[in-house]
Amino acid sequence: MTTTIERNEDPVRPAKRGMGRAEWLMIAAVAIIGVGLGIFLFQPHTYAGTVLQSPRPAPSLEGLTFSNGEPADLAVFEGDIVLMYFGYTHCPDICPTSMATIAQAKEMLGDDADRVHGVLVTVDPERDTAEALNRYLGSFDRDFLGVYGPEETLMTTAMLYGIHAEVHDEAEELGYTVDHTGTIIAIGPDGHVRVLYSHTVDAEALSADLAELLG
Amino acid sequence: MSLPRWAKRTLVGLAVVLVSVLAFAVFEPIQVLPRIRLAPGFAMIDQSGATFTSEDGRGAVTLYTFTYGDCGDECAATDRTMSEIAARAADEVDTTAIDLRLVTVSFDAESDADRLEALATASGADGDLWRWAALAPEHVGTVVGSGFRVYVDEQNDGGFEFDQTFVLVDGWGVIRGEYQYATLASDADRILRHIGVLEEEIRNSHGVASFAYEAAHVFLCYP
Repeated sequence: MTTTIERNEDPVRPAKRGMGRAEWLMIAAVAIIGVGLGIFLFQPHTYAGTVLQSPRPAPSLEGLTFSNGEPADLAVFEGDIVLMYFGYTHCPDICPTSMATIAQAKEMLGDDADRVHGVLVTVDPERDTAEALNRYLGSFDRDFLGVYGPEETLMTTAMLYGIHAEVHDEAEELGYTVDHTGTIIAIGPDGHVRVLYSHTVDAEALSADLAELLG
Repeated sequence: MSLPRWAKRTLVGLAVVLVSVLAFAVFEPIQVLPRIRLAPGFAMIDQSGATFTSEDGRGAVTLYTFTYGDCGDECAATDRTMSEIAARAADEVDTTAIDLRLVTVSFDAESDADRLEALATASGADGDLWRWAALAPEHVGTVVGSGFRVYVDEQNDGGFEFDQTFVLVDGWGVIRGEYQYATLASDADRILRHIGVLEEEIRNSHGVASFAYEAAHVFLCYP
């Protein structure tokens, strides 16, 4: 003959109502471990720059020209990332460091490097010809492109990207200088402005962000 | 078939995690303002005759509104809102966390450039917290129209048809709030509340807390 013991009819232990304190503590521990594991496994990425939720595409470069002679159009980069910087070839300080950072970050991506395009939009149309831009950018990365064109179109484009540029006429060794906003603008594979970086951003952190944006 | 006890506990634990994430999304314990898009770059002349550029706003939180000197009664409400925000900001905004600025932009520099100080004084703008500035006519379309996305159209009688708008910009030059339409709350109440949300994010979004704030952006925890 067999005896069937129904649930909560343990002949030794009395039946309990609900879960005890120890069980709740264990569940809390499991939850904490779960969150920890989740963070470890899925590695939520914190961007080194300011992430935007821009619902519209990045402002157009219409009326401007790439330094390779083609009409400037962001559509040619569709599916890739553009790191756009407004600067000029005679810039004594932040432009070369920013372009070098972009080049380093791109190089760190290895096989995905060719999916990142450095673009320098000049704020000095008087001196930055296609040749000058190509010569300057080639010293950072031979795939970087310059953008040049009529001053009015360049300044309008700069304004739409939140850039202010202003010529300083003081006599200096380099001639005049141009004060300008030093933001590095990341345009995502969908053509929208995605992240803004200070020109002081670290190349490694920028590279990690680019890898994340590329998915 | 019943699951072993450890499996049940794991499932309950994961459910707790899931519920926590859902609760975060639903109850929004942290609120943020959306990072809408880039504010335009510009250079204007302010009421003291000095150049005021978008770069001057770097690191500050700036509330812009747009008008013209001859607008008259139609624009009085906008001035009143700016005046109320300026008056209440000292008590309601933690200025140790953010540098708050209010800017009334005239898109009629031809008429207003020489009388900006008088217009500012009449509206109560002190030139410090709240200033008036005039934008060159050739940049109105780009900066106000395309950049801030405020409709402005010059009329044959010299007046302007435009949407009365407030735009809140953070220290990164990113638009965080746009106010064009009246709601049940007054514009001043709503804008001050949003400035408070932005101030909290700027003050607290560091270290581990920055994960929570980024999560709030991901879950669209907007006020």
